[in-house]
Amino acid sequence: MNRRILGLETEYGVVVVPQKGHAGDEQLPTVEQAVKLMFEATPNAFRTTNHFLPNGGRLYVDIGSHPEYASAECDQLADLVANDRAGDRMVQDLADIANARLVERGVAAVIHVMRNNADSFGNTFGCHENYSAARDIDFEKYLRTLTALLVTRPILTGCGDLVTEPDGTTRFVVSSRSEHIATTSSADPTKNRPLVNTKDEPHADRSRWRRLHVISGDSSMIETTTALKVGWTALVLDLVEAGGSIDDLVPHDPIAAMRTVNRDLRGRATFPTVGGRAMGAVDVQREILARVRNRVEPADASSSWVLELVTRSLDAIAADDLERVGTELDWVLVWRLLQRHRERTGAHWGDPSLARLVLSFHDLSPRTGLIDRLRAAGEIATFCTSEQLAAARTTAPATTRARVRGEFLGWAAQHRYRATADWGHVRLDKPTRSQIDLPDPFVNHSDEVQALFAELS
Amino acid sequence: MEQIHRRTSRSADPAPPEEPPMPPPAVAAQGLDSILDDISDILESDALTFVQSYSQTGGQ
Repeated sequence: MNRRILGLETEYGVVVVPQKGHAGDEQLPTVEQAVKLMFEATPNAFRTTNHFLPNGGRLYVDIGSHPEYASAECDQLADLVANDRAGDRMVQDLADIANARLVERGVAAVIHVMRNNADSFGNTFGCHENYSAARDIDFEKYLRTLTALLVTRPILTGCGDLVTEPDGTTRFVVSSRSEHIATTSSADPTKNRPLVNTKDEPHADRSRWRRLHVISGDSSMIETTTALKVGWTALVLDLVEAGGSIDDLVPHDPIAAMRTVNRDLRGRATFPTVGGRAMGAVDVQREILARVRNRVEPADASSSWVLELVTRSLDAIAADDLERVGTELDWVLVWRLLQRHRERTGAHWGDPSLARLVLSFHDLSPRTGLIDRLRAAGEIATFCTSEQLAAARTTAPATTRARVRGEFLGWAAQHRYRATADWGHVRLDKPTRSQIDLPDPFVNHSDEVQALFAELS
Repeated sequence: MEQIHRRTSRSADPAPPEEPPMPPPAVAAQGLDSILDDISDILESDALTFVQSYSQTGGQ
């Protein structure tokens, strides 16, 4: 896998649920009030809800009162998965503190944080992926490649969801987010949501890099699904950068094809491609896999791991043998849970207990959510060790710019200096020193920052 | 009332439930059963309230 900067930005949903003892006419906190209460627990809450963190990540409130965590810049899959999960823990910690305050105030309600992509009324929010890419490769080439990949990628990386069709029936779909994608590319991620957001914000020297900003993916819960989603996409970008092409696999109508893929759990329903073939999701992904294997040398263990899981997943789906990837792919596990619940209870697809079960899969609370239970029971695969997950809460990835920023912020907090940071710079505000620019996200050391440490420690 | 994206009706539902276009896979049930047992109260007692409470402005 080529060395590139990888990142994830996760928007969380928030739900305030009345508890036993709640009077029917008692006003519950709104989502906005709940999020405000959560962020009161962060440092300098009186000044800002935007926090760059010693682990290299960024925690803030985004459009629509969504808590959002942006991972540190990572160039290793394990670092990215661990840093991303650290964001979940931090946001849930804020919810725990806010819930304790609700109890103190006698409010019979609980705040839940959901790592998913839609509320119960079809309002959507995202988990955005970032991939650094060379500026000297035509953006349209990247765009065609990503379109060919992303329309069918959900058969591997979807989180599974229940949706209501126009005729009122309820249906299981592979991906939650796919239902809300309206076009292939756009700079408007709220009204005309694309596969790829075309905004050009590299957060680095723009003469050398661009940032490919994928916004069509689901918020993955299982570590292996997260690693597969990002690692597989990175390998396909490697293919393009090695001179390969999958342009002929772009569907004639990408959005219509995406809806088709989303309703076909077997990955077989076909759609026409610009190359003149009728192909299904498994066909397309297998063809991409063959070209990647032919052109890209899997020089590291992560690449080999990704290629093995893509191969095994496609084989399992094609053979109707989902159990072979039942602990590794989000949508397969959700499907298994729903099926088993229906077998046990006789619930039909529209029963609220099924919708609640899906939401439990995305609920970050250890008390009401599933993910910690599934991990403890060995029902989900893992990609990181417990030690890696714990360390990622406080320590930035060692191999990128995030290390410089993380160490700077940790040092400033330790000495009670006032500091600010952004992706491309750090600055000491009190005592005042000049801003230090960090234009290269691949550089994990700064002589200027080290000089500051030597001067003021 | 806005249409609920995830269907939440119970047995009074007049429309027949739709089966996804795939035969149910053989489920290795024992591990999942203990998980489902563990959260049975959550699924049965407050499911409708929880689902209907989840309403948030869209994001990006």
